[in-house]
Amino acid sequence: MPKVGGSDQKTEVSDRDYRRISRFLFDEAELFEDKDYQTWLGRVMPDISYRMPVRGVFEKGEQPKQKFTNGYFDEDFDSLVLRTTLWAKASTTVAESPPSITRHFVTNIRAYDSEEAGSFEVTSNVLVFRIRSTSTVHHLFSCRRNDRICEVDGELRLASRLVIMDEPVVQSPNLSFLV
Amino acid sequence: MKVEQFNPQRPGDLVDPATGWVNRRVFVDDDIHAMELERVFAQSWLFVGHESEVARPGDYVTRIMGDDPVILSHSSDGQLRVFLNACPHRGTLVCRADAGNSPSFICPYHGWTFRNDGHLHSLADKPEAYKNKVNFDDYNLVQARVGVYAGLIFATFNEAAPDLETHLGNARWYIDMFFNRTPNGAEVLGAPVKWVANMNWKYGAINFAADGPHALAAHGPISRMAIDMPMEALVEIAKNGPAVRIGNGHGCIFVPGPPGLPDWTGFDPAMVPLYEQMLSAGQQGLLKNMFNGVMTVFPNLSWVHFPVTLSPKKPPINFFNMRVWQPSSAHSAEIWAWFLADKESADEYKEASLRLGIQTFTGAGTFDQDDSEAWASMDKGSRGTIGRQRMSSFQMILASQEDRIADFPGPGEAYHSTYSEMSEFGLLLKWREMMQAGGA
Repeated sequence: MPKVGGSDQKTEVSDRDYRRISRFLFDEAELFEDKDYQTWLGRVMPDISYRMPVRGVFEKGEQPKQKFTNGYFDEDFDSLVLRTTLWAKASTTVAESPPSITRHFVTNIRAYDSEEAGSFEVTSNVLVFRIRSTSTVHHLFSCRRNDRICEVDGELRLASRLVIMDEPVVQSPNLSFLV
Repeated sequence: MKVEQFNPQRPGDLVDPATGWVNRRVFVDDDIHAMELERVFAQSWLFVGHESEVARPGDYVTRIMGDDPVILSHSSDGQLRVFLNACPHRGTLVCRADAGNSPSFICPYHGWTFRNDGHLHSLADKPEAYKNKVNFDDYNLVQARVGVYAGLIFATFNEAAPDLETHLGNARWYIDMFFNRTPNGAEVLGAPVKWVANMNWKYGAINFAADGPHALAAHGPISRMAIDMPMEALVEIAKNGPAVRIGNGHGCIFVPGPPGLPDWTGFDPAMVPLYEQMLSAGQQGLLKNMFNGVMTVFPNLSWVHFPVTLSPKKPPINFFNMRVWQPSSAHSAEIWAWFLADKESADEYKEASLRLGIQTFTGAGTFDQDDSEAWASMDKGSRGTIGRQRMSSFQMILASQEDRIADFPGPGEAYHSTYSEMSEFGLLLKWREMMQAGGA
């Protein structure tokens, strides 16, 4: 993860690319809010990795090293297609029928040139406000995202995403949405 | 049907063994919840962890027993111990991390220090300052009784409870099929994920004891996609799977594979000779044709095991999910969920199994996310002033209780169908007994 203020050796992207990357993330947030996963899937790479590992509370802040990492999401393109296909129709989902109401607040965007040409390392914070059909009291999810975003034929595409969910115990019955 | 009045000291009366009616207060009432913490959770053996989580001396994990925080410690002398996570001085947590490795636990308030075998090591002042007026034997961490079976570590603070082997009883035969089927047994794949379901813990425990028909109502679409079988065929195999009322409130179901499914589908082929070495013919027969195995050990430890794939390009692989339903309140249950695999399996198989587990059975899992909304809906529909007077139905038992399988290979009472409600109702019968008697 880049140091605060980008004080390590990473090179911040140009202002133009920062605007493009920001717009890409804001567009994505709207697609999530609109549940337009079909369009979103058109903006990710076919070899995407989308993960949300388990979080915990530890003496030195870090999980003691373990061989295997449990989590909430560990997705490839096929499993993302399957998940989002289920959410698309009332007849194929209980969790999202009626659909939950979500608002995605994306902030603290930092973007760096990657060692791979035509690719960017992007970090951002996301706060998701969510109402479920069985609870009209909202729940907030605070997350950090470490993304790799690449450029294919002049268009930006999400290549990988690691979501750090800040709650060690997720105070909500399910996570039937994407961050 | 509704219950107008009941004796609050005998909440077990709300479960009617003869009719299969259960008054919904059992699932929503705050007083009953407080009482079951004393009469069920404080009396029963409770799962606290798996041996592979605390493999090295000094390893510890913090856990919950009922509503009490505890520490599971692999003490430096090699013993597994479970302590109330509370300083004997004023009750402060002496450990606030989820897991770690440490020779001692230090109270954050006055700095009292305890060895990882629970013994008081040092206190704020010198012991002499107490002028021999205090017995420091009373100042060790409070220890629970600990029992281990097939790598599963249980504990209880109830000195009068029968030993763990007695509590598990016939469940051991079924536990062996999952946790004790290779010479080295199972191991957990990483730390538990934790999330809060908006429901009473018993909805989860009985769902895994287990409930056949919900699988196709709540999970029909994902089942068809992840298992690649027509709905009619899925219903058929679920209806034909045995439900076992194991005894002592433990229950399980086995959904057999559809006709033509090869033996050991989804298992690691390298493990099959080890299963054949470790398991009886009866256990092997059930396991090799097992499409879906789901079980609850009373009161709140459950697991689910079946082969899935979320990609048309990849063959199905078994995942093995184990979970605890923490009785957080009458209306909420923290779910702690681990994934496991046979220790001898190759890392590639474990990785693939873990990944499919994460994709299906966690708070974001394609199966679990639907359960949790159905369970939250049950809580909502049952907790009102009128709603709580109504009955939940387990009346399929009336049609099923004569329908025993005569030649079932395993112990306990096996019934013909996972739709029978026999095994899940068995958990409520044990709950009834403990709530009536005021203890084990």
